[in-house]
Amino acid sequence: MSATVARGRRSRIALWLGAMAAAMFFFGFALSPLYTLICNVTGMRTSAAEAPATRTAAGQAGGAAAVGRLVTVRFDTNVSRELAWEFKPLVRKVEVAPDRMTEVRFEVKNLSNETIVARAVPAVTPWEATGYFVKSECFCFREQTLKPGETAQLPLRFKVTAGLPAGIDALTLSYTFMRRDVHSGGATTPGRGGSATADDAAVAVEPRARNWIETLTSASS
Amino acid sequence: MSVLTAAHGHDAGHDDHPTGWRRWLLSTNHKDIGTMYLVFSLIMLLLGGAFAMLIRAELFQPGIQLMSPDFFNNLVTNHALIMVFGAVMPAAAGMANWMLPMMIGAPDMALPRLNNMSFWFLVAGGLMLVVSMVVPLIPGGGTPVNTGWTMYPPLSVQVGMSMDFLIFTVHLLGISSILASINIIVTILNCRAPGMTMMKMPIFCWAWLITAFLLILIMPALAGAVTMLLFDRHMGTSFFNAAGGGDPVLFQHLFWFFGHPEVYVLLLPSIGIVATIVPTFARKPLFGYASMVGSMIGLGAIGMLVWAHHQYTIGMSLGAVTYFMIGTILISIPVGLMVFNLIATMWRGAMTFETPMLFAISILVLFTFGGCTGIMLAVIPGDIQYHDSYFVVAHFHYALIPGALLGLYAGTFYWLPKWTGHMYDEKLAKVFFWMVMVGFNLTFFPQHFLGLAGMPRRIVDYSPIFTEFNMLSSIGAFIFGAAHFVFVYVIVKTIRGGRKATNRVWDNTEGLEWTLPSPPPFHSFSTPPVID
Repeated sequence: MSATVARGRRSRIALWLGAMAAAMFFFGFALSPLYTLICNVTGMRTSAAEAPATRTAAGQAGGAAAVGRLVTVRFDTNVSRELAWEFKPLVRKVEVAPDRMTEVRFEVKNLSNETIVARAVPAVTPWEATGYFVKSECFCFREQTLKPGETAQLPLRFKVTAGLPAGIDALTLSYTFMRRDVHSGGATTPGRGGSATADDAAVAVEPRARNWIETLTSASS
Repeated sequence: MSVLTAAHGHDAGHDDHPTGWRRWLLSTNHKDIGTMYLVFSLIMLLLGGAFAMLIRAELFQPGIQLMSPDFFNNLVTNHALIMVFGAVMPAAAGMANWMLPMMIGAPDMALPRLNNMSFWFLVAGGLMLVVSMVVPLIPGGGTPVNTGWTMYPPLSVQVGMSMDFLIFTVHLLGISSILASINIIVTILNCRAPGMTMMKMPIFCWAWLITAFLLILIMPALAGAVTMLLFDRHMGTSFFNAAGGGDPVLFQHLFWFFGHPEVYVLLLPSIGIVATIVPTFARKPLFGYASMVGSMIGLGAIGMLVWAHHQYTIGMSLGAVTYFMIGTILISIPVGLMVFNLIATMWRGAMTFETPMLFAISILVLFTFGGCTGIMLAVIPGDIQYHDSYFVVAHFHYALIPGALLGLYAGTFYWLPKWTGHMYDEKLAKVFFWMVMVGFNLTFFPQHFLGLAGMPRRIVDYSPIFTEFNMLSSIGAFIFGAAHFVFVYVIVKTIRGGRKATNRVWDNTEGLEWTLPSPPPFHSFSTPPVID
């Protein structure tokens, strides 16, 4: 090998290595957009973003498996003993895609001959799903008033968020209507009318029940 | 003069000997440049060591005694930068310059003038680093660099102009090591003696070949990162500024994309040295040469892919941190292979314990210990607790001092007779060795306990409950520091005279470099030796 050939080979390798160094310099700059790109493509997120999904190990796959996933939501209705209402869902069961808003209706009828104010208390089973069941409109947000014999259709708009742990594919939403004005009409508790307002009376007579209601409603909202 | 000669000369054509300062400033001789690298790194070692002494003096007792917190943080920053870029890397490069051409039977490095350039860039970088320290002392100079060597934004965007000098320092040092690496790769690939195949190369050459490739891949990424920092500081960009749509975490990724392979850049040359020394003093050939080469390549390859284990606490997704954890733990496989190969080399060997061998054995013990705390830190739940504590400080000093610095000491004593032609003072060298052992372990072993007890790193003051271990640590540091007076004395004494060294220096040395006289002639192997 002559000296010139050797020198040519040396310069060629040196240039290749120099080009490699230059490429790595610009690779450093390229990483700035690349990091965002890689995270978007692979669905990698920060630990803060995935925190709700990590409540269970199965929840890891929750975000990625959201496409094509359907969650069954069943509706259950109850009325408390002292309340003479009939309360039933118009649909018993719906299948919803995560993050898709769904509207369902319930029918409620006052069977008594008095005007009654009552409020529905929701509960989600299994309880782990509670945080992922989001209501944008619900009759349970307000008290409902029904005149004697009146029938009403009550709307509920909700969605199940995509973060729902992967192990859960069905959940049940249960409503219980609780009477708020047990003394206003006198039919169920005769002879105890008076100057006190309905709310005061409720507190006076059944403070424990009332607190329990408030705890539940505030927890679910 | 010599530039003119070299311009129309060819490989064997630079026979002239410039004298006086020209010999050094314009040198294209691998031995002279190697010497300059080694002297430069020794000066930097003493400077960085002096900073460490100041740090330990301040930490001798709780409270702020000697310096302002800003200056303390500046010392911590510059101690790291000087030791990494000023002491360890140039020393390894100096040994590469001295030994590689002699080991592969080449007359000189492949690109001698590039060699000169990379050395003087290094000196320029070192001076720039000193400027960055001095600038805050001038009125209007702003705050000193108090970010630690990692230079994380947003703090590094806010500090004064000394940060700009530091950024240019990194640029200069980066250019220097990239040029040196190109030179080393070209030399190894191109200038081997006839018959020396890649798998017949001395293991030190392999170690440096892989190191050089790592450097070419990572140094530009760091240069890019600090350039972005410079843009953010002065040109209104927002690479790392969250208010402008950037992300400071990106800098961490870029820095550790450089920073983690950098650990192997520091480690591999020393592993190469140890793997050269152990066969000599065990009087047996290196056990598992091919697996040694393979594990070094594996170490470099995996090492490029696990950088984010330095940033477990930034809030990466569980999948990402799990990947980085498993990758990091995998590194223990090639490293373990190297350690076992070296132990197997010693197995049933006729061992003698000259100073280089003492250092080599101590490296195996201490570096393995540092590796074990590394596994602890690789595990996410553990790391989140140890993060930024003195446990980390203890870990990386146990990894880097045995893994890099002690290897360079070993190499110094091993090759000093070859370089100078004189045997060093074995008794004094052993004094140095034992002072280093006592000092080093006394300094850093208690820091494990301090870290586990919750003492944070990079802090000028600490809770009084940490006093005793910090005092022990400081006393150890002063012993470690004092040992270097012995080190310098031994080197100077060896250069000035001593028992004549033979060509082979040690009993069982193998390789082309030992066929040359000690000291070797200015130009060695003008006609290439043939290997069968």
